Amino acid sequence: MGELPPGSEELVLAFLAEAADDFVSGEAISGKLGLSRAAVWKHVEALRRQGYGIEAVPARGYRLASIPDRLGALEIGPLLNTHDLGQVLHCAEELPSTNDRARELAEEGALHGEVVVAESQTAGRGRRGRAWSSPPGKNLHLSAILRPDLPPQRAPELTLVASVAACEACRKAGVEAGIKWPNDLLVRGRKVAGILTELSAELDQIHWVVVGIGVNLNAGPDDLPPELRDVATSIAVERGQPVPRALFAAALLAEMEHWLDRHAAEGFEPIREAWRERSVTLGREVRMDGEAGETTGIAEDIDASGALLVRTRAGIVRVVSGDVRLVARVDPAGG
Amino acid sequence: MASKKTEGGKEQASGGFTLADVTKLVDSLEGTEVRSIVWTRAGEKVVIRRGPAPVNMLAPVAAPAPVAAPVAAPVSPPAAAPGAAKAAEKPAEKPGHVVTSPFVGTFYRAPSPDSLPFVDVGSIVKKGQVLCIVEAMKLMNEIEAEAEGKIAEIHVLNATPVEFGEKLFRIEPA
Repeated sequence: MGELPPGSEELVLAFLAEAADDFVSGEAISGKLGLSRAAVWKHVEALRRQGYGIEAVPARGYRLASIPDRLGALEIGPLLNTHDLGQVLHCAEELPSTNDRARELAEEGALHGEVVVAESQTAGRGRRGRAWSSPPGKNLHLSAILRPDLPPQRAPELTLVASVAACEACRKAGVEAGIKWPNDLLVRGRKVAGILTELSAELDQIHWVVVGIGVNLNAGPDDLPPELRDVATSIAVERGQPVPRALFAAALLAEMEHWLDRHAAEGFEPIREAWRERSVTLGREVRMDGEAGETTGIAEDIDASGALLVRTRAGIVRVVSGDVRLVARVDPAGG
Repeated sequence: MASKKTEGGKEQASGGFTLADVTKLVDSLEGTEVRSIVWTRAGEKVVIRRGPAPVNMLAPVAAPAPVAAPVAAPVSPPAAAPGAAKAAEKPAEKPGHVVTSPFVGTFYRAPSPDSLPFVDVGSIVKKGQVLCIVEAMKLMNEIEAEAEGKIAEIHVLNATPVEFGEKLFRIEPA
């Protein structure tokens, strides 16, 4: 066999992925892609070595039975059920941070819905420059570029939109996550996902929004640094088995699109309602770190712009930014 | 309308762009909706804005552009800007460009608590340079300089709340 046309391995895979659970005959593949039957077989073998489970049954052909646990465009693409989000995927083995890459792409003119995914981040970031550490190949680091038709003053609403979407994705994966204001996801009081959103705007116009979501998916207890073991968890730890990461990524993008569409069509009110239903903050005692020291109070509600309303001894305080911590409940029975 | 200006008055000879390139680009925009375009090549940058404003050609890092394109500030007669009469005559309107907050949030002068501030009073800034971050609900907005010049005033203390439209910085022509 001579030179193979470049990329024909990917074409074979895409062909099999498109057929989903059906068998495709080797003849159909070779005819469609202009390859010899032997070449098709060779590609199938190469794909198997990369971790793809491909069944071969005489007289029926090939069927894609399983995909490797990778976050490439080949794995996520066929699972997508969105009109915009992730239709352009930028997948990388390693990036400093997906948000940084997404910002670059946005500056270069990337379209609404383009998504950056990396297997590992060397400089993952949280709020105010805090490190977001995550072992390679186990979790999800995803940043979506959005160009919403929204005045910049309303852009912060998007962080709550993203939190509702990520919460739904966790729940559909079988994990009862809740939202800590504004948009951390907790399970049993431990952090399972974080969201960092960045905005570029003029006074009256948004250039772009980059929503970065980090979800602890398949990290085990040993993958977490000791100092985080009591405060962090993962989807796999909570549900007792690993989650196919490409599937989770596709589900997350579908949820994001669903809630972004609702936000665009109906405004913040349905988001506010959905957020309240999933909140683990409302009704709890919270502590705010402010310039004037710490204040505590009971989180009562979020207002029509997403700000947290806290009842303190001095009255209702409207919290727009900064850290809000849940004060541990005295609950000796646990749970 | 399409007047062209090149850095230092020379026609481009070295490196990225030739006059023909730019002419071609301008021609290709004719009849389109495109109002502005930034084109970078070999370390050089062409910025074209169409409509009432003239077409400007700026060199990227090297020397400051000869005519700082007036950005948002209302355009007063051109003579007013640099080296005119002493500024202090009308205390109500200090010279330069005022940067305001795009929404209610917290004002941060540095990317993280351990880092140096993006800028200080006296810093010379370029257009597009990050001046601060305003945060609301974990949405980080890096506020950029809309004009080049010198930071004359910082109106807000680090890590304090700001309102929509509140003055953050005043940038004077350097």
